[in-house]
Amino acid sequence: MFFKECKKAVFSITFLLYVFVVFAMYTSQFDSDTSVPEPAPSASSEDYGYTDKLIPETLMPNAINGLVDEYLSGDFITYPMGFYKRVVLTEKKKTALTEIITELTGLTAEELDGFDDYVPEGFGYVTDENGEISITHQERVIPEITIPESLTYERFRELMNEADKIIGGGSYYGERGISRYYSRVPKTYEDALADYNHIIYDEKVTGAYARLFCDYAGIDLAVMPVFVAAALVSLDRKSRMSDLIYSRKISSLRLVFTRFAALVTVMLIPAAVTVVMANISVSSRYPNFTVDLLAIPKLAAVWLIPNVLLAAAMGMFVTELSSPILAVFVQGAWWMKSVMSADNLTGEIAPFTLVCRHNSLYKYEAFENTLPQFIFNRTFFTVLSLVLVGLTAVIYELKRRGIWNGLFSSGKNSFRKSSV
Amino acid sequence: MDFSRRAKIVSVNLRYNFLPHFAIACVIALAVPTIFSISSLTERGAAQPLEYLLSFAGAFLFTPVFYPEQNKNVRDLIRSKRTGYLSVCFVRVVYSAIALAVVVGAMVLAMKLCESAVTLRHFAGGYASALLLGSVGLFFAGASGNVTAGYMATVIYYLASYAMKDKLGAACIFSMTLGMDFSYKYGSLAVAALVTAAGFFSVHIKSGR
Repeated sequence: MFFKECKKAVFSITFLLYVFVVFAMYTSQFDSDTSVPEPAPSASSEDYGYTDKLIPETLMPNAINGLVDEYLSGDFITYPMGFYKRVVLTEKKKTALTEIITELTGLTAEELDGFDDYVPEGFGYVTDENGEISITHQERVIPEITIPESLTYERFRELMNEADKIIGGGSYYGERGISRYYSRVPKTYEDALADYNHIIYDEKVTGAYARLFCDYAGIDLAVMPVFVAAALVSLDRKSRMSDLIYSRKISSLRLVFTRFAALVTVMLIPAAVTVVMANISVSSRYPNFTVDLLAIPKLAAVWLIPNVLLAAAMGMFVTELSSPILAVFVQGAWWMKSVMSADNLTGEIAPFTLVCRHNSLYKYEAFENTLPQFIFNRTFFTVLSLVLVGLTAVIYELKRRGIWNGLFSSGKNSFRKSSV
Repeated sequence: MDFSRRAKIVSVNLRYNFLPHFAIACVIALAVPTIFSISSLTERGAAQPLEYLLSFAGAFLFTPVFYPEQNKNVRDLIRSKRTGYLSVCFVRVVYSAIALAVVVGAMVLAMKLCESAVTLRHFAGGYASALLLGSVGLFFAGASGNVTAGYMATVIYYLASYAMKDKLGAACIFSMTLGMDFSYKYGSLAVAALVTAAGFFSVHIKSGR
């Protein structure tokens, strides 16, 4: 029966589309992102990129200047769910924010509102003495700010969190915003060299690439299996095979778990092929270094299998409970919310994050800090998927005995108990 | 087709085949303010919630147009009737298009009340994006005879549109957000009409009538 179910899944149009997505995602994202090996930093370079360091001496003036700048501009940029949102404050909220700025800078409401020379930072049109117009970068012009000596870093963070709440969340001044936008400092050559050596020697190249591979593959594997599973489960109804299968001797539990195992097995095959492709591709780009050939397969197993298990289990459960359309909607909505709310693509793996992200070869510390949550997360979703398959078996058994037809089964027959 | 038979087809379809999908479209519309801001948005910013999320309302209204006849019993029954199967499906497309206009219109109106800079163009543009995404689902569901494949195609198309951006031209569902010329939306409507027609043609070829 296992092989029959595998065959049914493999020869479905949804599986073909699934295979297409898995390989398209690998080629267009991971493969194109890693087409050249990471260059070793050169001591003569002037730019090594940026790193995140919470240094109060630089963070405080930068964030306060930013807050005053946005206050004077009249609107605030926020990303509450990862998408741009422009916020204009009401008079009441503006007054509350002015009090915070006064404590942060010593500037009074009159001084702030009476400042007429405000120029936002950015590119603007400038007319020279010959009347010619050109686009130049304009420096920000805001009132001169002196941070009171009595202001501690802890109080500063409290005030900034209050400002974020007034603005409505997701601003540059909340816990996430401050670390994301104002803790960036230029990397030194030593920093860049340490990061490079960590990837090449400590992680044996593939360790870092494994996280990036799983980041990309995890996006599609958290949603695409639901289509294959929903289509396979609804196939019985569509081809009028339900009654025939109901009359078989096999137990519902065994039947449902065999189907689930078949689905997961066939859907892991294309994913496993991309794992092998990634291993070969990364290894061939670093011929002079020792690479760990097991790093990508090991992390992919822990990171990606729960995604496939959950999406497949959800597809089977909701389709058996109601319809394939609802299964697609439920998993699709959950996936979309998870993908869209991923504000920072590194270091934000929470215990119940559906799509875990780490979109970088670097920032190992950010991943390491969330490792306990990551392990809990993957275990939780694995257990949840097994529970959902168990519940699917229960629903299947109820239908088989004619006790219940499922939710919204055929309009009039919803919630109807059979007389059998 | 006389009026009373047409009215009967509409009422039966609305009762059994439309309401669940319309409910999902409404849930998507209600979810928009939880993910995006809908107040005080600029003209371009206001396009984002309409194109990025509300377009899925089109997918959930149009993809299941051929769904009831996926069940072989129903399909055989429908084929035995005097009214052509595709005529019934066309009726479903018409009422789904009206329902989509209501959903998109209500959202644009809500945004207007929340002081966002929305105009009739936002309504037309958001409607065109939702129709385009829905037509892709309708085509794949019809051509494959599998509604789940239709939904899968809409997600793939959405992701491709997100990745390829303006390279898709009139077939891009995010043209207003990307700041492309509004005339691309007329192209989107034309593409949606063509893809819908292709969906009907594929079902016609498969069913042999």
